[in-house]
Amino acid sequence: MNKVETISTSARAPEGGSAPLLRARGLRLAFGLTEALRGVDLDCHAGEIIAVTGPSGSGKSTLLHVLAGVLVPDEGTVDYDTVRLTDLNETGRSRLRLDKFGFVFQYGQLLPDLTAVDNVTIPLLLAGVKRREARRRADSWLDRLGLAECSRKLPGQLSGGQAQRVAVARALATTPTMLFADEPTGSLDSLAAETVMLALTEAARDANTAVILTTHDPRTAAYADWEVVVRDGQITVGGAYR
Amino acid sequence: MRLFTLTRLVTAEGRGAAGRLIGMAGGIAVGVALLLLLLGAYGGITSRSERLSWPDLHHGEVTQVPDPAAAAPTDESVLAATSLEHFDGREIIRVDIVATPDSTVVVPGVGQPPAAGTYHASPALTALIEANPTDILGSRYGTRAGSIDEAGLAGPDSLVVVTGTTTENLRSSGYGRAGSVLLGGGAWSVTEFRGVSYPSSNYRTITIIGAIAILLPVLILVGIVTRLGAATRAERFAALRLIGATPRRVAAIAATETGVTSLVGALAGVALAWLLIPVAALVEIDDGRLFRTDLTVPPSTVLIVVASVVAGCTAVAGWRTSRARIGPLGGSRERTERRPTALGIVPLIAGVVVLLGATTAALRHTPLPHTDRILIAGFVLLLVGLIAAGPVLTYWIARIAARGAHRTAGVIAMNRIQQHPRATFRAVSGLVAAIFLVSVFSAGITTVAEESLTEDSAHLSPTTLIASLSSPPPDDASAAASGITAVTAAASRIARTDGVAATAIGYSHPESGSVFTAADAALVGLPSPEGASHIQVTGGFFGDGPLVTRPAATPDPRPGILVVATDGTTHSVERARTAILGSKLDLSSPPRTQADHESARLHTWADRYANLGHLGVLVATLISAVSLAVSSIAAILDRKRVLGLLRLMGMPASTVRRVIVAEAALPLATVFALCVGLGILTAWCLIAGLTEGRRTITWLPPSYYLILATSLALAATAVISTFRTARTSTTIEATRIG
Repeated sequence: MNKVETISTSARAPEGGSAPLLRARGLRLAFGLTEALRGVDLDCHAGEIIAVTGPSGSGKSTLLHVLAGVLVPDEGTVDYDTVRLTDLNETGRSRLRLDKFGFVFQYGQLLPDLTAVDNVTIPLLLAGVKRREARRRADSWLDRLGLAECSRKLPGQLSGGQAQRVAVARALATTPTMLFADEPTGSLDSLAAETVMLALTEAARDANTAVILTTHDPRTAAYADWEVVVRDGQITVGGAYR
Repeated sequence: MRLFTLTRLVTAEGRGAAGRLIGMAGGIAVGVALLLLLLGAYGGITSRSERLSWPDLHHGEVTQVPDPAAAAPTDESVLAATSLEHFDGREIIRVDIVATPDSTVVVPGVGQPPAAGTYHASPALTALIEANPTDILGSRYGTRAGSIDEAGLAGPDSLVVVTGTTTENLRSSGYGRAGSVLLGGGAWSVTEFRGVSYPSSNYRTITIIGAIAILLPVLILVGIVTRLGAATRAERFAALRLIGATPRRVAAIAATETGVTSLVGALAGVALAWLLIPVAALVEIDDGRLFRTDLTVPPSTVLIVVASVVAGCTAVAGWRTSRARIGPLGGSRERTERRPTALGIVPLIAGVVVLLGATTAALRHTPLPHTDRILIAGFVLLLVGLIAAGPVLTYWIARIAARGAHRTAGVIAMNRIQQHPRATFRAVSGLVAAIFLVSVFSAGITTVAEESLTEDSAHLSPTTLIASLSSPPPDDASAAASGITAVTAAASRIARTDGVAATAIGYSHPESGSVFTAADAALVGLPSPEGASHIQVTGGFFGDGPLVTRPAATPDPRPGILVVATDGTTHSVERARTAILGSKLDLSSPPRTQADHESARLHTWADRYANLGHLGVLVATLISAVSLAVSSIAAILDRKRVLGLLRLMGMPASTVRRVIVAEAALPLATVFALCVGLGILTAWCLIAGLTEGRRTITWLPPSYYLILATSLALAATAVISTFRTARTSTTIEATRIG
């Protein structure tokens, strides 16, 4: 894929006039004397995939956590659809994360004592789905991600790529409208990384799920529709892949 | 030296690591302190039994003297007789000694035998004498010549008196039992007073069982605390492996870390034990409190305990780490446990077989050789068997429960238990042992308190004194006549004592019981049929069955019993008792009330067994609650990142709490009924087996259910106490990666 367009603004203009699903404005957050975010604006539309890149310590993960309502910014607002995320309390944000968001982490972070299928059922059970139905949906997601044969295996019996794909299935099982992925391929070799990213992006596009992912790897970033580069807590440049 | 530096760098950095090491050292300190106190108490009880049993004159260099009046002491031997007296429900061991002025015989705790008319008393008895008027207690013994020191006493509460007397006044007492000491009847010529380690094998058996009851939870606690933060440590070790450390080096670092920590903990435990000795000395075990010196452990034993604990912890840490095969990415993978097999329940079954086998043989009056040891072995086997079978049963139940789990917490907890049945059960194993032990001891003490004091028309008042009189030979009419005169005169004097309501002399009946005049009988409250001039009284004077009275003919002329009714106050009873003892009557047994008899009956070996048992249960339950809390926290800390990320995904903190509860509740619930049932079975086997069926157990008292509820409440408290740690250690901030 080739980068064909570069934009200089930190916040992109609405696409085709539709309102963004997630809208961040003027985000500022400091940890002590260190300013992790210094006035970040970002929009994300439904079904869109955005890669947040930048050097270590630039504020990528902090931005991801603020957008997901995990961290509360010192200044600025995050709006999800019609809900102002930054005005919600912890319980409200937890509820929103459970209902609307999905998460993928660097090492998969599966519960080691649960089989792959049970790991995928956990968010469904948390969302109130009955166990039998949850298992059916979990099996279906694992099947879609090519993991049908691994469904009864424990995380310790899976390869890194397989574990990460289970994590993707877990993240998408509740059919979230937004998926946040923090270095989803950071612990994988290039072949496994490619498999995971293909699975993630295809499944997200099928479900019209917006994805915001952080990565160091340009090859991973290349799966996104948009790339924003974070440096010293600011979005310095943004670009679109086609 | 490089190893120590490396270990310090790898393990001692950061607040989390410091907390983990402090927790480990603290747990080991508590364990070592309890272990030392336990060893001290065991040694103390052993040496105490030697001290307390010297008045049992059978054990020394002794020969029985059939007629004390015709015997005489020499410089190398004394004449001695022991008897049991009572004061306000407490037992006083009295040793009367006739010695020459130059006697070389050493009386334990006294030295030179006291001169006639003087006495040496234990500090507790001295305090009692000084706190009461002389006519109530002090005048029984004469003039105080000194105290009995620790060498002649069971403990600081012992009531013992050694009196000097003359050949004419030496009491030839009947057999009696004071606590675990059997008092030899009659008079003895003694060249050396000597005690024995254990008056009976039952006594030893109970002591060993009590020691095991406390030791097991201590070992479980030490085992649990040395695993604290295993996952965090595994991550650090994985990082070390990544930068080139060999597995052997990593195992050495783990061993060094645990070794140094356990050494610090063990030394702190020694200091803690030393500080706790005065507190532990307040606890009553068996025959009362121990002296502080009893609880002191010799330096060599302290050294052995410290070295064993440190060596054991170090070796196990090194072994565990090398067995865990931590690789460069070890932190990201978790090893599951080997699946438990049915072999794990074999020790449990073996324990049941051993206990039932030994008990059945004893009940058939064909006891196996060393039945006591076999029963101890069965008890230990059963206790260990419960701990070994726990993971197997927990695994089976978790498998079934996992299929039916419908909520997130249930799915997480049941799967965790299936993958880690041993670790999960280990968290509650101390509590399992405590519940088993509480069932054993509570069922054991049901052998006492089967009867209670009875006061009705068919029984004497509990505060009426009964003294048995030595009978003159049946064919000696003049002795009988002078006996009547002496007893009548003494009874008249005693009747004038302050607080005495009436006296009655019972005469021997040719067949059974005693004969009273109807008037005397009525005065002391004996039931009498109307119209009879004399009545025959049979049955138990001491509440062991109702008194049976029937009209009788003129009695046999020999006085056999003196009944003294009082106004019921303690002072009156004791004043009357002192008057009887000072009346020069030839008593075959000291005056006793039904209340004294009941108190002595209750204070059987089973009663002391209960005291030791309660102590064991208390310590075991408290340690187990701490172990459960530590294990629950450790189980959460080991999964804090993944649970934290689940919370990030929206999982509420209440789900984490439910996981903790489920992981503690399932293994406990699995073996709860088994613990209770086997505990009661064990108690029955021990009681019936040791007594060859003379005793059995009855329904468990309400206190048992209270203790059980308290134990479960402690467990619940331990689990709830982990909630805060679970919440704070799985916060989103604590699990941020970026």
